[in-house]
Amino acid sequence: MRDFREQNFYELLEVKPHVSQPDLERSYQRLKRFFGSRSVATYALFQPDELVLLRRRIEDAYRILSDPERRQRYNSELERMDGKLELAGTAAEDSAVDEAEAEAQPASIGESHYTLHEAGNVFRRLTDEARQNIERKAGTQEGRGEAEDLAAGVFDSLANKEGQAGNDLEPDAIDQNIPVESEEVATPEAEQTAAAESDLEPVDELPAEADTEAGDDLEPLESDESGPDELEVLGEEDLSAQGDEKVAAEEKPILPPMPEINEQTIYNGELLRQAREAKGFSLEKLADKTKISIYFLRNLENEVFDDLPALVYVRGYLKFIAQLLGLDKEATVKGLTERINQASNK
Amino acid sequence: MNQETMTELRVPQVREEEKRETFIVAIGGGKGGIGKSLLTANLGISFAQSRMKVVLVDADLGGSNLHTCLGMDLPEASLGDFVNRRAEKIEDVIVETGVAGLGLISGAEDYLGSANIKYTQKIRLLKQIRKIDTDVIIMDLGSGTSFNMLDFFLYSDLGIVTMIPEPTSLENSYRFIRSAFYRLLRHLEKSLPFRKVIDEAMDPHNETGIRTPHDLVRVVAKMDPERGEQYRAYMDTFRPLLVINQVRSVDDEELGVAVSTACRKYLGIDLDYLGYINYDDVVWKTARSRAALLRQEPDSAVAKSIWEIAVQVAVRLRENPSSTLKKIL
Ligand SMILES: Nc1ncnc2c1ncn2[C@@H]1O[C@H](COP(=O)(O)OP(=O)(O)OP(=O)(O)O)[C@@H](O)[C@H]1O
Ligand SMILES: [Mg+2]
Repeated sequence: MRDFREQNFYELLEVKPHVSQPDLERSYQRLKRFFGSRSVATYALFQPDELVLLRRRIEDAYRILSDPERRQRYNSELERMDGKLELAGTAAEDSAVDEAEAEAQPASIGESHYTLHEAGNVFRRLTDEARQNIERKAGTQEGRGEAEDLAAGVFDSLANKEGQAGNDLEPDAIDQNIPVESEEVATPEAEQTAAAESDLEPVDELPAEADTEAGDDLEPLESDESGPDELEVLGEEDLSAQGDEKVAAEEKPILPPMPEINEQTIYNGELLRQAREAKGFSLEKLADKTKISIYFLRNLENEVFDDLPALVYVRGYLKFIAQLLGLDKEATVKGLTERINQASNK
Repeated sequence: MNQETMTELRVPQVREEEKRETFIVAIGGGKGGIGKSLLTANLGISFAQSRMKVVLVDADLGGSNLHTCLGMDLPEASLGDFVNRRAEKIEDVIVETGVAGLGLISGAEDYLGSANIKYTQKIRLLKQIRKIDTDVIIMDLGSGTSFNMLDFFLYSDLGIVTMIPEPTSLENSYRFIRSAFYRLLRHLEKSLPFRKVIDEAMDPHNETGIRTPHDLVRVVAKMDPERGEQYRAYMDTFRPLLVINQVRSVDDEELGVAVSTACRKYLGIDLDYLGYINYDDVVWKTARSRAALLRQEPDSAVAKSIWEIAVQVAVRLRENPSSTLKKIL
């Protein structure tokens, strides 16, 4: 089973590719309830920003699949992409991760130590960037329950997030996002468990590990030399944001130039494409960064406007895309929405 | 009506097909006071009344009270006797319950002795439990997510997570499910560096930021793609079951499906929803009169919902489920 960020529209709506219209509708309505703001089921699982993302993806999926023509087009797209449509972002990021890791790995650290550090690094790269910093904002917007505010709020905070340095990627920031109640419950129980488990230690089975591996009553492991302080030092070395810049800087010479912006510039799909290419982003990379479906990004660039989410969402998308690509936000939103409106009036 | 269904579904192959090992069903859920013992006792009665042989095991090492839900006094013999080798065979500590075909192994009353059971003792105990000559074993697990509870859960062929419609219970159950899955991986994984990553993941405030099995798979796949695939395959085979207890409103009725969907979407674990039990005063009334609910109040709504759940369990047993952990211990 795949992460909802990687699921295609059918998987998202938990339906089979040949689902009938009524079944699709039912499944959509159910999911809407389950992941709505009044649902208890998501408690202690999702961060508010993740929920917003999931809801948006569900809306996107329904919008496309509930329209026979769009669904048809989406199907052929899916086939063309060999079913990997929604996975593309993850794969595209890989090469950048490799490079960053190669740099981040000091030669002298022990094996297991390296792995943990690496794990942390990889995780921070691959994790949904939106997760970390937008909780408060998304949370309050959600309370109001208005689609437009919600979308705007999410994209504003995503955009702000993007502009900040890498320090909000630190684990501390993540921890703060955990609801207070969860900490209250987690702590005593964790301690209790730890305490109980250390008593269980079969001393004869795990002679060397008794102190460091409290609670581990599985087979004995090889000894591990890395200490906790080393780990922290390495943790600080995780400079994902800087790594990104570095990669971009190195690639710069071979990139096409940024399109010229002047009075006559028409803000259209083509401009988005040119700006993206000038930044050295593949569509996949942009999709991963923005968490906008690559399908919609492509439709925006190709101006296939009838296959887009609701306009309020598109405006949010555009703001965020413009920010990432270094385009004027207002002009981009204005230009593209005009073109979308023109197209729909035809 | 449900009893008839049950009798038909009655794991028949078990007895006829030679030497099929006993099925183990475990009932856990992370939190205390959510109806694990209520469900264990009454599932046991429904199975026994459907002419299956059942032994209940109070595996709540240290806080046992399963006998109370059966309307019994604390039996003399207990699991502790077997663990501490005062009893030679595990069969020696099975006591009768007054329901034909239903035996009970009472929990260990001496807290210090059994709650801190050692790993080797635990494995021996689990293997002995499986050898008991009966159709089905139902284990009532203690609360919490200690390794003991997780291992008991993973050693079962069907693991039921119980939950009540309260935030803390939801949270505990999610944590229980997640921890059980990590624990399973931990058993299966032989390589030290990867074990360390799993250990990290088990800590909810871990340094790596891994929060879900999805995250873990992603990290592992990055380090070793084949392994990542393997982990993902384990994710697909780990299928705990869900029962919601103390349902009070129409909204709660839908909670099971919602929780199962949320679990699938977020943790990537297919939590199979079995059914719910209503909140009803009849539960504590029967407890007060020291009687088993299913016998004292067979026509109550609660009894009926337990029968429904029993049918669902019997259906799952027909598919011959088998613990992954069993195979490697
Ligand atoms: N559906 C219900 N309606 C009303 N009361 C209930 C219901 N289910 C359980 N209870 C009550 O909740 C209490 C806890 O139930 P039970 O002992 O079965 O939980 P448990 O999970 O086994 O708890 P522990 O972890 O302490 O062993 C009991 O007093 C029981 O009477
Ligand atoms: Mg109990």
